[in-house]
Amino acid sequence: MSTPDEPTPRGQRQPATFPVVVPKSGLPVFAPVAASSAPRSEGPTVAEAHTAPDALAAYEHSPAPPTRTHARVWVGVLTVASLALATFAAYLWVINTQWQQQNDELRVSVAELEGKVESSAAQVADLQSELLVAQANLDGATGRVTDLADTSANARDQVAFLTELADSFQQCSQAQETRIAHLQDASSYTAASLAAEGRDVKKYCDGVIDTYTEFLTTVESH
Amino acid sequence: MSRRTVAALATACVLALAGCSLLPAAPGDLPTGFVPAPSVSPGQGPGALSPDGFTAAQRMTVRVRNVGCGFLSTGTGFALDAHTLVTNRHVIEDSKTLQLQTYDGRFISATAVASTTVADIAIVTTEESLGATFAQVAREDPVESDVVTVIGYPKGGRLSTVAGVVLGAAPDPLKSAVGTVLATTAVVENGSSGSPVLNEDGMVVGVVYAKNDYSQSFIVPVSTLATLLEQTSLLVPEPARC
Repeated sequence: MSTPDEPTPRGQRQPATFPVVVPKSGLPVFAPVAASSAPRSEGPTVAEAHTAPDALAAYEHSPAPPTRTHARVWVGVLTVASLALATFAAYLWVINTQWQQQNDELRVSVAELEGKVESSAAQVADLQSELLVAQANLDGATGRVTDLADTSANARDQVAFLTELADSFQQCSQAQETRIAHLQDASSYTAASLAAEGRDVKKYCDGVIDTYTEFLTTVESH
Repeated sequence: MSRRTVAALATACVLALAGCSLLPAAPGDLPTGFVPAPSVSPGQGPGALSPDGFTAAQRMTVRVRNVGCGFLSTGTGFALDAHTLVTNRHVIEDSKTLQLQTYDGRFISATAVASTTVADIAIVTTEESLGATFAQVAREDPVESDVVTVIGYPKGGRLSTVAGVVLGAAPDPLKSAVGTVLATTAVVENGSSGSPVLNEDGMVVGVVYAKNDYSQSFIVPVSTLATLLEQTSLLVPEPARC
């Protein structure tokens, strides 16, 4: 449909009308078409222009056909996609290079470490055998220390025991001396008390002797 | 530029950016050095060996010689700290002189003794240091079926270790303790009295003080020992005899 924007003066030549293509964006764009031509049923909306110079200028800036517009869109999309793919490929190449470099470094390190591990394993085996020997020596040494401590403790036990026994013998001896003195002065004591003293001294001294005999038996048994 | 074009470009950009989230990352820097943490520490723990090859339990266990009035007896004790020893009351009774000997044969004289009637426990103090290894007292008594270890000087002989299992609470066969005691299957002898009873972690859970004819031993539980150590008023100085 075409609609003149201004009224045409009488007697003047009817100017040629040009359709104006109005894209969906809303900005009018001119396109040369015949005045009598019917509006197109497809494509953008067509409006009439007023003057020929304007129409010519509009013709120079007329939009590309829809197919060309679509093509440009797809070219743009493909360009963007291509750029993205190129960037992606470049990134992958860089990353791959870095991983490969690190992989190479790690392989070198692994080779070095394998050598070190073999050396360390050999050292561990040597040290384990030495450890077993040292452990056996240590067990022997600790056992020896324990034995010596036991021997020392038993010796001190014997010393303490014999010291006590010596004291007991000394007390026995003193008791015997006292009894002898009492017997020498028997008239001063009753026979019963002297007999009781004798029994007590004998019992005490016999006990000391028995203890000593038992001690000797114990020492001989060891 | 039409809306469709803009939408197509935006979609392309979004897809391209979305693809970036799936991109592989660059490798990180390799570590320049690695020092592994030691998995075992030979110098720690109750069962750890000292430089001389003895365990902590052996080092803290002390032989006790009681030179009494006309007799001589031996027992065992264990160090609570450098100058405090735990043993049985009957080990130090009627003592004229009390002599201690460490696992490595070092002799130490006791300077003071305190005992209690609450249990067959005595605390001996020394002026000279008992050593550098002391008992770690458990917080709880052992329960039935717990495996325990007894370290001592049976019959006054070599330092030795026996193992057993806790049978459970039992009445005191000597009727010398307040409350119940614990029976175990650990075989002890005369001279083992005062030996520390250790759990599987090497912590003291009791003190040996008696045995019966069925080769069962009886121990004062650690809860009783802990009570005595906290309430020192229950401990009475033991006078020298003879």
